[in-house]
This record gives sequence, structure tokens and C-alpha cells, in this order.
Amino acid sequence: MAELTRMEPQIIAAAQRGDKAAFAQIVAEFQTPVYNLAYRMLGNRNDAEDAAQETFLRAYAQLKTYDPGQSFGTWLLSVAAHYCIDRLRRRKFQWLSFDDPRWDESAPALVSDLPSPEASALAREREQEVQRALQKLAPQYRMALVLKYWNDMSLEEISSITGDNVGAVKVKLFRARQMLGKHLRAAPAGQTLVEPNHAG
Amino acid sequence: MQDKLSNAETVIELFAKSLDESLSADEQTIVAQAMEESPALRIVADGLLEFDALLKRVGMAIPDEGFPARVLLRIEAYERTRTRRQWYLTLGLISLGLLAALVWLALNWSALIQLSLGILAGLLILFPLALLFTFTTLRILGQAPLLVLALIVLALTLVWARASGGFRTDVKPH
Repeated sequence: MAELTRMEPQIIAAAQRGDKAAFAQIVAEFQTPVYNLAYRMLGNRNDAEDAAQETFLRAYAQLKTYDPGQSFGTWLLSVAAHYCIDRLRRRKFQWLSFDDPRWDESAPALVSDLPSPEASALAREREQEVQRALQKLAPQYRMALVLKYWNDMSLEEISSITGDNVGAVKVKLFRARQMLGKHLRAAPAGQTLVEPNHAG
Repeated sequence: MQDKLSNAETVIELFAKSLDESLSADEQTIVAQAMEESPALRIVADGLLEFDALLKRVGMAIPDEGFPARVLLRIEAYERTRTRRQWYLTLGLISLGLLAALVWLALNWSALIQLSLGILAGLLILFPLALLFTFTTLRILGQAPLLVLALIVLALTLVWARASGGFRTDVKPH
């Protein structure tokens, strides 16, 4: 889907020295992958916005610990991934009412190059369906899928972010696909995006 | 039957693997052969492919307009809080040090008195000495006030020595 941008080392070095303009450039460059990861993991726009902001704040505070030998995008997404997992863990112990302003099921805008409104509407419907099915997965499976499909990460990169070995990442991806497939097929009639194939 | 099932599982796993990485020639042969022989496996594989394509078609969610500015505002708020916290920490440490010194002095009351008297006596000596210096400089030729000043200095030295316990006779030398 979208490969992570390679950030200029000079910009990162400037941000490490405390240059706010350089850090603003980093935020502008990585806002979409970080926000997308947070949205896919947390499931609603408000939490995603807050988590994405918090990710950049943490990255800013820990920027000196970043090793220029590794990919900046991978490092940043690792910060985001850990924060989202922590947040989901805390969420287990919170009760969120439907009246709570944080509860917002509306979908965010999508990066799209679709020409017609019909195609856009279809894409939006598809996206919401996938998003709902994604929320039914356990966080570690969801994480593997998001990193694989939305960030185009290799198994090694996913492994470095999640802390699992490559074998475990493969298993997680396999199971996540199976589970997500089941959820998509089990969606109410008329909303099913992946139809079971009755051939044979 | 059991063999067939485990073989089918292996093929599906290999097929799923092919979505993440390229298969070896042997693995490709196993998968192709199995797909040819089993329509059921083809259905599963088609489903996986379809699903893989579906996920690849879903776009990236993008934040609302002005996201970088909101992040920078949050960073500024964080920095203000951090600076304030550092100030509080410094003041706290200084207060703690002063408190510890006061507690120590309160527990060593006599030492406190001696210290205060020592400081006072020191000032009383230093002040006349400074006067003496000025006086001597001004009246370098006159000798009359010298004796008076020497006596004053001697007296103040005795007061200081008394206060600091320097002339105590009840302490035996080691």
C-alpha cells in the first residue's frame, strides 16, 4: 500500500538537536502512516487523533535515543504500535458510554485517487466493512495485518516492531487472515464484501 | 484421511506464505500440484487471494487538516510542564537541603550557638581590623592610637576565643 518515506538524515539530526521546524517536517511527512496505524488499531477517529499526537510527542521526547542506523519510519511506527497496545490494554478497564464525546464511529478521510463518486462511495463502504472486521481481531493479529497491508512492511520489519520472531509473525499473519476472512464472510447480508466461492 | 488433511493444511500454509514471501521451486511445485488435484483447495486459495486483494485496496486513513500544528501545540504544552516540573524539583531539593541543615543544627543546639557567636565574633574582629587598616593608612606617621587599637583587638580575640571554646581548661590535650 504505502511504503514509508525515507527521511533525510539531516532533518532527523536537526530535530534531535531540538530544531522544532525540522520536527514539524517529520510530523508532516509521517502523519498519515502513524494516524492510519492508530485508527486501524483503536477503531475510532478521536482515539486515533489523540494516539497519533501522543506518538509524535513521545518520539519528540525520545528522539535522542533513535539510532540513525535503523529506519526512522520503522522506529516511529514502533513507538506508535507500543502506545496503541498499551492504550487497548487500559481500555479493557474503562467503560466508554455512547454519549461520551470520545466515541466517534465516523470514518476518517482516506488517501484515494478514485475518479468517480460511485467508486469513492464503494471504497468507503469497503473500508468500513474491513475496519469493523479488523476490530474483532485480537490486537496482536490486528497489528500484524496493519503493518503488512497498510505499511507494506517486510516480515523482518514487522518482527522488529512487535518483538516477535519472524516465524511467529508468519503464523500471526496467517491466522489473522483466516479470522478476518471469517468475520467478513459472517457480515450481514448485503454487506458482505468477500463472497464465499461456491465453485467446484 | 488424516494424511490428506495434514497435507491440505500444509498446502494452505504454503499458499498463505506465498502472499508474504516468494516460495522455493519445490514449494511452488507442491502448491501447483495440490491446486490441480483438489478443487476444495482452489476455493480456499481463491478466497485468500481475493481477501488479500481486498485488503490491498483499502486506503490509508488520513488525519484532519492541521494535524502537524496540533502536534506542535501539544509539544509546547509538554515543554512548559517539563520546565515547571524541573524548577519545582530544583527548589524542592534546595528546600530539602536547608531543612536537613536546620534539623541538624536543631539537634546540635550548642554547635548552633557556637557557630552564631563565632560568626559574630569574627565580624567584630574583622570590622575593627578594617578600621585599623584605614586608620593606619591615613595616619601612617602617628603612633598614639596604636596601643588602643591593639587592646581592642586583643579584647575581641579573647571574646572570640571564649565563644569558640578555644581556652577551655577542662579538656585534656591528647
